Order: sequence, then structure tokens, then C-alpha cells
Amino acid sequence: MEDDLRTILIDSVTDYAIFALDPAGQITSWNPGAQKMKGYTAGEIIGRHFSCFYTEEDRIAGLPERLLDQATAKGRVEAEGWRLRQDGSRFWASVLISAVHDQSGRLRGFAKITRDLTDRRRAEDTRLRLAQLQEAARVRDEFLAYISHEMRTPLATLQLQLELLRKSEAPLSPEKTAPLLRRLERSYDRLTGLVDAILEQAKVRAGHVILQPKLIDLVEMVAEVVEELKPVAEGKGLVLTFANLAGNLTLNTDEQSLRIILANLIGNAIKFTLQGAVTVIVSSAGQEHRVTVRDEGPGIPFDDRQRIFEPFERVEPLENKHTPGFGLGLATSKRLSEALGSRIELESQLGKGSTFTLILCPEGATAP
Amino acid sequence: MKTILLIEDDDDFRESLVELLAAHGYQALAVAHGGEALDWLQANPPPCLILLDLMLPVMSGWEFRRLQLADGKLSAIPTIVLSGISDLAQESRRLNAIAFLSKPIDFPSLCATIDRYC
Repeated sequence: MEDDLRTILIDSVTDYAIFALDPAGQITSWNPGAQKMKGYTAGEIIGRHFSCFYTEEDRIAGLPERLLDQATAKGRVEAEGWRLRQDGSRFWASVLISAVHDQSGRLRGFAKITRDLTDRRRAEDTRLRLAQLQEAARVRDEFLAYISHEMRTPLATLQLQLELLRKSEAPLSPEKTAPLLRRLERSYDRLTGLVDAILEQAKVRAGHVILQPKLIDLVEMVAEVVEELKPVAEGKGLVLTFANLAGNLTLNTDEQSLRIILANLIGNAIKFTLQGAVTVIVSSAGQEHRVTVRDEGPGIPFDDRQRIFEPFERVEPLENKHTPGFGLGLATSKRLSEALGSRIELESQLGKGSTFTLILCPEGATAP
Repeated sequence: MKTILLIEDDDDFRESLVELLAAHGYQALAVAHGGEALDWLQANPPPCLILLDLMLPVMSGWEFRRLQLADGKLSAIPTIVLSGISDLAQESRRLNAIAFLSKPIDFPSLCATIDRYC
């Protein structure tokens, strides 16, 4: 009587697949809910191994056996995953497998209850996808805001100088002309720098870097770049020093690419240091030549150390962005240094500054 | 003459705009970020107008505007958003500014707005 009731109960459930397995995993009973969910009639499925409900990947990975082992060991196991219907279509199943023992404690088989949660899973996927799209849109908006700000700020200064010239009574005195010229020059330099950075990055990304390796004097070249950037450092009240610990170092490499990398590394050090010193050191260790650029800037948080080598990435939050630039210098330098068969290492301590080291192999440039 | 408060971090732009406003007969006082602006506002009579850049170091224009609107003494000062970011119209609405000017700015329309409030 009790067994009859149980059968009636199980047979009346159509939202859950309820069926039994023998200890080896062969199906021994099948309710209408199981037929509705999986498509098989009792006659078609009883006697078959329950692994036929699993996807090929899961079968190869041994998931059905593993679940039975876990149910045997712990009494029950719960799982969610894609399962197969008779017609081969997939559904998202929530599965409970319970081990069934007889009175002597011997394993008699398993009771398995499966629920079809495909709709819930689809809704979750849709929500997730929507969240991803929203995040992508946010990143795109922020990126556009940032590019727009970087280009429009120097343009706005150029335009104000035009307005000032238009307003002034001709001819302008030298005292009035000097600041105008200074601002025009700085805005022009900023825009030129942005255009150059974008074009260099575009070239590097498109793989259009043509390397022309030749023998160069590394110490002389670093000294030249330091000399070129000295006025920028001094304009900010920074001390820019150069030390050569290596004697003569020659290197077979592409001069232009190396110059861009050095200008980016030293230029960044100056850009991000508000006060103090920027030190450039050339040294040699074993087979490697090193150019070390040490700054006294804010330092780079550990989590940002990969990201800043990606194009358009900056550590500064957008709202409080203060240091001009597109965030392209390091990305370009990284790609170029790889093309030269060299690499850039970064050490940094928050509040203490950062050290970028360009490590060059004397064998020199390889084709990108 | 009433004073205009300019909050702008870019030195060249800031200096030029103050100079240009002076050449047109307006008196402008300039600070570099939101924090300096709040300090100045606490210590001085209210300006007739605030020209506010958004992307600023230390305290951004967004943060400044939030604090300004929360302060009964400062919230009524008309504020124009002045920035190079894209979507400035939308940001300006969000910040409840009386007007916005996209950089490079349209100077005659800035003058017209100033004349309305100062």
C-alpha cells in the first residue's frame, strides 16, 4: 500500500524527472516527469546507462561516474549543468543524486531527481550579457570622454590665443607677445605629441614597424635623449641626471625604435614626477645591456602593472586626470621593445616612485 | 565689478581665459581644482558666476558640484560647465548647470551668458 502511494506520487510529478539507477548507473525506473523532460519513454530508456543524458565533453571527462562516486561516498550529490534530451537538444539541469542502501547498508542504487532550469539559466545569461554590454558601453564612453578632453584642451588654448590676438590693440608689446607665444608653442607641442603617439601606436599595432638595424653607441644615444628632455624636466623644477656605469656599449639595433622607447620612458618619468629627481642609468650585466629610468612619482599600484602597458590605459582615475597624454607611450614602447628582442621591466613602490628598466640584448634587433 | 570664479587645472587655458575676460572688462579669479574653489568660496563673497571644468586633480568638477549643491550658501551660485569631454550636454544636465560650453569655447556666447548673470 505504501509502495502504491509512492508510485502514484512519483507518477503525478511532471515538473521533475524522478528515476532510479542500479549501483552501476543503469536506469531501473522512469516517471512521466522524466519522459516529459528528456523525451524517452520508459520502454526506451530502462536498462540503459544514465550517462546517455550527459554531453560528450562531460562523458569524456568522466562526470557521470564521478557523480555516482561522490553520491556513494557522501550519501548525496548536487550538480548543475547542460544535459541532453533524446532529440540531442540541451537543457540546463539541476540534479540531485542520492545513494540508496538496504537495511544491511549495502548500496542498492541511486535515486535521481532532475529539474529543468533552462529558462532561469537563459535569463541569467541574458542578464550577464546585458551587464557586459553596459560595461562595454561605459568603458567606451569614458574612453571617448578622455580622448575628447585630451585633444580639445590644447585646441581650446590655441583658440584663446587667437581671441586674445583679435582683441589686442596692434602692435603687441614684447611682454604681451611672450606668454602668447609660449602658450601657442606648448599647445602645438601637446597636439603634435598626441598625433605622433597615435600614429606610432597605429603603426606598431598594424605591424608596420620596419626595423633598420645598425651599430649604435647606446651610451651616446641615451645621453642625447636625456639632453633633449632636460628642458622639460627643468621646466618642472626636476633634476634629471644621467649616469653611465658601463663604459662603451655598442649595440646592433633599430635606432628610431630605441629612441622612441627611451623618450617614452624618460618622458613618462618626468611627466609623473611632481618634485624630486629622475635618474637614468646605463649599465651592463653579462649578456644584457640595461637602461634604468628611476622616478620619484606616485608609484604604480601592483594591480595596474600589467594594464598600463595596454594602449589608452592610465593609472589616474578619469575624473581626477591631471597628467596629459593618451596612455599610449608604454604600450608603444612595449611592442617596439619586443620587436627589438628586448623587454621592459617595472618595479614600483606606492609613494616612492617607479623604476622602468629596458633590457637589451647585444645581438640586437630581430624582425618583428 | 562682480567676480567670476574660474575652476580650471590647465595653466595655459586658465591664464589665457582670465586675461581674455579682463580684456573684455570682466574680473575673473581662477583656481586649479574643486578643493581650492571651496576654500575660496568659504572666505569670499559669492561670485556672480562659476565656470567649472570637470576633469580636475585633487577634487574633480563632479565632486565640487556635488558639495556645492549640498551647501545652502553656495548652491544658488549659477554654474557653467566648461570642458573638453564628449557628451558634455548630458553631463551638464546631470550636474544641473545653467549652461555648458564645450572646449574650444565659443567666446561670444560665453560673454553673452556672463552678461546675463553678472
